Amino acid sequence: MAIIRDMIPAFDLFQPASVEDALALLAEHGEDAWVLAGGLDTFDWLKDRIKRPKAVVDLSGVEELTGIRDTGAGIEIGAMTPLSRVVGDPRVRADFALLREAAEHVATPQIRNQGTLGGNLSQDTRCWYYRSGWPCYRAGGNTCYASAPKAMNREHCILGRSRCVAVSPSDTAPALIALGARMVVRRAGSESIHEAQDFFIGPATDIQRMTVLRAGDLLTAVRIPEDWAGARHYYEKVRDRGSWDFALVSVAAAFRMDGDTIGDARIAVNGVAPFPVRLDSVERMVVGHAPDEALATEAGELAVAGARPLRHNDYKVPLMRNLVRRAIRSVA
Amino acid sequence: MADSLIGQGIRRVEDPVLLTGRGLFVDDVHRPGMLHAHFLRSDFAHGIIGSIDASAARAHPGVVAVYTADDLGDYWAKGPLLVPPPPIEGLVFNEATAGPLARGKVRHVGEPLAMVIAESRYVAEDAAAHIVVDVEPLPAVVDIERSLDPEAPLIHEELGTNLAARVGQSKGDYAAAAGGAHLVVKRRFTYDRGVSGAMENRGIVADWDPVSEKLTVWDTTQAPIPIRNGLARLLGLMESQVRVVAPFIGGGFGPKIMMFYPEEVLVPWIAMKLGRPVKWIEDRQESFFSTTQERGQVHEAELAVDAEGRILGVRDVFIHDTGAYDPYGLTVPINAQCTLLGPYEVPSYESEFTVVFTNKTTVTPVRGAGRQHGVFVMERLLDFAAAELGIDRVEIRRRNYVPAGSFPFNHKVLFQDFADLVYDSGDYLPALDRAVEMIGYEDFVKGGQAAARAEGRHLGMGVVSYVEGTGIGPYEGARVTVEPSGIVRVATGVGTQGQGHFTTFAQLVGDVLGVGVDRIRVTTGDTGEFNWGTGTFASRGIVVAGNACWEAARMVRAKVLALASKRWGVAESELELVDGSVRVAGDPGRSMELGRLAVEANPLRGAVTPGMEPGLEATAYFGPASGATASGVHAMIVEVDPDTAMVEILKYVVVHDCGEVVNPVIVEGQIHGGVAHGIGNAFYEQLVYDDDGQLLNASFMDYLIPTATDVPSIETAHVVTPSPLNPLGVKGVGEAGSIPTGAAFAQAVQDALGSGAPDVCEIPLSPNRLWEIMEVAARSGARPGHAEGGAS
Ligand SMILES: Cc1cc2nc3c(=O)[nH]c(=O)nc-3n(C[C@H](O)[C@H](O)[C@H](O)COP(=O)(O)OP(=O)(O)OC[C@H]3O[C@@H](n4cnc5c(N)ncnc54)[C@H](O)[C@@H]3O)c2cc1C
Repeated sequence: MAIIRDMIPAFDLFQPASVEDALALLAEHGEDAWVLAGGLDTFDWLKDRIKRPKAVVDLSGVEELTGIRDTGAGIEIGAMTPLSRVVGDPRVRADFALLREAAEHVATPQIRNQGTLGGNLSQDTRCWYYRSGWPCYRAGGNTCYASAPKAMNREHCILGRSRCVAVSPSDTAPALIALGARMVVRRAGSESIHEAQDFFIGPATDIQRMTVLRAGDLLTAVRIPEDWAGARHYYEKVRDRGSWDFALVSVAAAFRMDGDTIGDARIAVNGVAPFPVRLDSVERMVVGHAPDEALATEAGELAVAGARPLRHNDYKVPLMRNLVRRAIRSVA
Repeated sequence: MADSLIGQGIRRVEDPVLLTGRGLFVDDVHRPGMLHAHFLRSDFAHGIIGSIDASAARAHPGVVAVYTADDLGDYWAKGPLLVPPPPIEGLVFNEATAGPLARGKVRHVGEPLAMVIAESRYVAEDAAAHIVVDVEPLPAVVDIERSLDPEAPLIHEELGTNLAARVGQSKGDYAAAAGGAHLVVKRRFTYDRGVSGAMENRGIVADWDPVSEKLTVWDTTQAPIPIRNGLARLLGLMESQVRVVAPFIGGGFGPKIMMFYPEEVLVPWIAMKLGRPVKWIEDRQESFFSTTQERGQVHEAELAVDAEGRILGVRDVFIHDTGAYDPYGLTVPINAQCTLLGPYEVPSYESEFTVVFTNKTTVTPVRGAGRQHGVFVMERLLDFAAAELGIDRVEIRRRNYVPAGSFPFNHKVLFQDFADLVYDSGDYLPALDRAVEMIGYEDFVKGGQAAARAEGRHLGMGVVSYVEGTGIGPYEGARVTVEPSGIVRVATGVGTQGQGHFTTFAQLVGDVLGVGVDRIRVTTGDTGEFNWGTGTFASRGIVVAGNACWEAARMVRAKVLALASKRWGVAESELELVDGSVRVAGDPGRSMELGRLAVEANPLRGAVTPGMEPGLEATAYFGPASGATASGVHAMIVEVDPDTAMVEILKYVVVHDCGEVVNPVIVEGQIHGGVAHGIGNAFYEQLVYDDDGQLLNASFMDYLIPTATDVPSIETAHVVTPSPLNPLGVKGVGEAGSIPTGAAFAQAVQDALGSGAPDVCEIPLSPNRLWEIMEVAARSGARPGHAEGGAS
């Protein structure tokens, strides 16, 4: 469907200066409100006139949401911190280089300057049927165009499908899962903390959302505990182009070595399911073993167990398998 | 002339303006009281229009007017057939061009249904949402190989068929050649559709001045003069009442040629009707649906060779997708048909193509314009023949080149300019030798590749040849004027979309007049400045307009010499033109700035005597007898990662012959841009249509074009065989870079996959496609496969 429009329709713009005010506005406008961070995902939706919020709450004036601070037990990154600041932060660089690498693989320098960590985690899927405004399940309709017999679905999922076969687009998500991060979510009058992997939800839980965030919620910060500070890590993102491209498949892994064996590991992949996938079974399998070729092979196999490719994304199975293998080999 | 300006790689004089954001593009044009147009376009690929109710949109605050086809009255007419079919015996051609707004039927997604004119684009887009369109959808014709099926719905009922054209050309006796051949290789090749992807989308601003009764149109066209002429005809104005300006344009690549797009036809009309300036700027998504596209072809081809790999003949039957309409005639498939022959001697050739209508955006030339398809087919056939015969792939090319002594060389088939396909000049072996040396061919095949493979790295090389017909007629003109200030003005009718005309034309004129390029002002693409010409296409700017500029400058030079020789009473041979002055050689006392001479040449008394014209000005035209044929060799090394199916280009070499080089920096820029374009075609760019004719990836987020990280640094070298068809000896270079890239890429990837891999016969390749190919290779036990254990 050719929805050929380029001008954003009118909305009420609110520019609160504090989190409290932002939360109050979000509570007041409920489902009609839209949180605006860097706008990179937001403006696409608005220009295409596919999402038409009545009220836009712009967070750019909320200073307390920007910055990276030491909590004594790790670091806390404000949701509005630009990705380029995450990339350039000395503490991130020193202790959480996995996050740095992942954030550095997002799109282009311009987009990293404008895009925020909170926006990167909360962004919507790139399924082109959904993004073109087709009335699919995720858009409130009653079909999935991407899994139709003749659909083009090379970028879609091989795991975790449930009516919807879109994938999570965020590069920072798997890194934060591997680092055991927690997301701080606030709404008027309450606060909740979510393990990174629980922050992302699949279509089986709610087909219209990618994260736990509901109307009225604000992701305020991401906390990264000391647990994996300085750990060995592996990050790799495979994309069609060398820059400005979402992952076909990406892997983020953190390892603690115990002599020659893997003492502890956290491994996540993205681009393969409607949510970033933590590979707990692979983690359990590799811990206590030397990261040799046999282990890598076995880990790759286990990682893709149960994968069900669509018509055009068979390649993602070996791709995911091989990236997991490379992650294990990296600590050999 | 000691240091000629021609051949110098001077920096582009237009760049400071462009780089500091001072260049005027169409969207920079703002007129007082300007209105904005937005087009409501079809959501359906194919359907019958029941009714269009625009009453709510008309009532929308801020809306000035809404037009549907029915509201256009007499102004509704089908667009022109821009290029009629060539006079080939037995040719079938069914013409179908589009009206400015769809009437009765829609034939592709994005076809305009209504035009909304409002005080702002926002309002226009808001109002368009209130137009109620009732379309009864019909099944869409999408697959080009199914278009002629008896059950396929008819796109143009009045034609009674979806056949747009059928053309056969042949020479020699292919059947006999194949019968006596040592080997015949047959393959099926597909080359998919893409967009041109110009950085600037299309746009138009029209302003009617009722006082002077003049219409000014700023248009992103490659051909302002034909657009001016056409608009004058359509609007019932004299040509002198219409000024079309193609200012700086952010890339053309073909689709901005003289298309008479609906927007181009309607915006000036509505501006006159409403008496207010009107602007329309295409957005990117719109561009994916409504700007013409290129490239869908399927070839069934065969090559007959003798035991030494000498070509005995080629047979090629192909289908070409023209989309919903065929306003550009047969240019693209004829280019494919002719360019297939390449730099080779092909004693017998049998080629037949079928052009079909589909419910997709119309196809017209895009950089390469079908040439890459022909080159892809021929080069791949040679690769397969070489492999089967056990002949080196460079050697098989060497054995088949048209020999250096045989130019002009007539292939005896008809080309897109309706003349025999004749190569004016060329020398192919030195280019091949040079490319082979630059890419390190010997080392690679004799050990480099194997050594890399032993380390688990899968490298492959591609080496391919091509020719490019360039610089076709009919003609261009130029006027050169020395102003009293000493500034030299050059005006020509071609449009400019980044090719560096401001610099190369200035070099040509400056060289003749002894004036530095900083003192020369070139105007292109403004019909108010120059009245005659056609436009920028077919890699013809330097050949046709360049020679006209040069000739006009020579006429001015002759005038300067005549006046100065009279003034000082010296022979013309004693005069020289240096540093913006004319002087008597070796006598600094007798020197005069050209500006002063220009004033003297236009005195209040006696300026014009028989045989003399006032001032220092001249106009010249140049029309070549036929096109100049450029040629070259591309070579590349790729690495395929067997774990990920990703391909990296490690090295890229171009050896190119575009005749005399006016500015090597600009020539290389054209080649680099072309190669980037070609890499996009080969690996990233594919328009994905579903069975209903919906384009699924109509954004640069999903339709990938290469970025700086994906284009390698390109090494270039030149071979020069001057063209005898024009005084400067130049040939075009605009499309060269993109023509052979797909063929080189496919050969290199095939080489990296190793023996046993299935034949790579398609473009574009993508990681998922490549992986599917590698899977087949892995199953058949060939390397590299998708590494199971995998080396790291
Ligand atoms: C051309 C392009 C290429 C890209 N490539 C990549 C890539 O390779 N990898 C990658 O990971 N990303 C990529 N992105 C996404 C980009 O990095 C941004 O992260 C993303 O678009 C959103 O970030 P933003 O700050 O602009 O947020 P916005 O677009 O403003 O917001 C995104 C969504 O999150 C919601 N939101 C934002 N902040 C909050 C918050 N604090 N609380 C609650 N909800 C919130 C918004 O309501 C909105 O729904 C790309 C984007 C573009 C435009």
